[in-house]
Amino acid sequence: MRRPKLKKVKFDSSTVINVMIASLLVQKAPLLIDMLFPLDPSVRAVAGVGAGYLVGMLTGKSEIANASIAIGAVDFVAPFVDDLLGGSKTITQTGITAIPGASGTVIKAPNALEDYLRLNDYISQPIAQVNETYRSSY
Amino acid sequence: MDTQQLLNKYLYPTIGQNVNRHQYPIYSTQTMLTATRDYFFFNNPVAPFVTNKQLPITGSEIFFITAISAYPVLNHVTTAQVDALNELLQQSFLEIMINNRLAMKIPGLDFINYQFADAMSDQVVVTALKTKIGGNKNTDGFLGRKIKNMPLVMNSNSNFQFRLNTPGNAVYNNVVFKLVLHGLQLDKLTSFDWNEIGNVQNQLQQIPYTMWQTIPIVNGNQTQFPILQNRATAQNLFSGDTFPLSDIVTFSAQNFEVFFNQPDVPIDPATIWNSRLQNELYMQIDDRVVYNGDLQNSLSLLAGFGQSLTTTPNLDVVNIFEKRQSRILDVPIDFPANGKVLIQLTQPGGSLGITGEFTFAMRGLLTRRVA
Repeated sequence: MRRPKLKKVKFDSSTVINVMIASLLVQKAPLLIDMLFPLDPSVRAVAGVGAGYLVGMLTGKSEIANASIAIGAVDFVAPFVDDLLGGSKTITQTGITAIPGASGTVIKAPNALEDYLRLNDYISQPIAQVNETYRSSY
Repeated sequence: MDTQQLLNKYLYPTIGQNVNRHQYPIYSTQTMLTATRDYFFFNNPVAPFVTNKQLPITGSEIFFITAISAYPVLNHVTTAQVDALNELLQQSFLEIMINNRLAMKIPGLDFINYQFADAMSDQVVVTALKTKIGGNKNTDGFLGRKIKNMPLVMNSNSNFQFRLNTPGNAVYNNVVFKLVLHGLQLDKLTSFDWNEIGNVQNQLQQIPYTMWQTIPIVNGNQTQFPILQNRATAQNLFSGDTFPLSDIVTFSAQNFEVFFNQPDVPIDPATIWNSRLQNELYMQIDDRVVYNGDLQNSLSLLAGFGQSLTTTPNLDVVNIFEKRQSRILDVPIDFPANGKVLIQLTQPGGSLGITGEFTFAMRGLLTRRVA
């Protein structure tokens, strides 16, 4: 069999830059849009593609628009490829709600002067109690 | 934040908290002796059936006191024993000192529960008893003094003293007296010393408090009894407070009770009850009337009466009338520092149950400046 000849590939800086711009737009534009109009996580990828395509139209550079579509498509296809390869699934960021942190009432070893000033038996702000508060005591 | 909110903060386990909770009450017993007036609790080493806690508590424990109750182990069946019981309720007090500062001084009628029985005896001296348990009855049925709205905090390593002062009546000679502190104990897995003084801004302390006075009823004439006015009163007959309050103290009254006892010569308690209901309680703060009414919902009575029936089998009968109730105020009555206060109870002429004593107890929250 004939060995394929490696052809010399020409370095095209403008293509590289356009694809970089498209990639940045697909990734970062949703964050910017989110600041103005809160986005549902499921539509973030689409918003990114849309932003890239829009920039391509406005600047007249079809490469940015097409690259944006391609990058958006990769985001969509990648999990399926992972499945085929049997690799670890990457959890998409859509639809995950953060687990709230544990309550802050931790009793710990004192390591600051402030630790000695908490949990004292003096009331810092005396309150006037109402019937709903004290009726259970009589 | 008050101690109730502080307690609520640690009541339920959350992620990261390294504290255990124990919900059993701690108790201490003393044997009472004739003419011995002062008893100190929680000083004995831990022993089964005697006490399950010795003070001070260790550096890894904190105990929130949410209720106090006590019980002398004696069935009161005769009018002489009821008389001694009335002394225990009206002329005794429990004094709680935390780090040499008074935290609570409550009269016996706030927290002492008791056993009493109606008795019928025939000529052969066989006695049939109908036994009951009484005490300061709360709306949920608990007998004792609840301080859930402002629990007392027993800090690790704090200096504590629980002193019971009684008249030392011979009826209670060799009677076991058990004091119980109900609440929640927290075991800190990491040793932690609390700073009781707190920061400089923490200058105010709020404690649950009872202002009370026991006053003798001399005769049946129309009489106005001034309450909490005279400082020259024996220590076991009042809470130590008189009005006006000092300029660093205010008191918010949330509940009050007026307790009458068995007259020196016992009479049918029904007549005492109907007579005392007519008594008028009057409270005035800075020339404004804040309370002026009779004793509906706030009258309590513990009195025995013995009768000998004259028909065979010639029974000797002792009936003990016990009714405990206190008035929970819908809106607390606030006594300001230095306020001009007048509290008095008026009995009409021809009052029955003309001798004996009555106790006026006002329970609530005391706010005072400390440190």
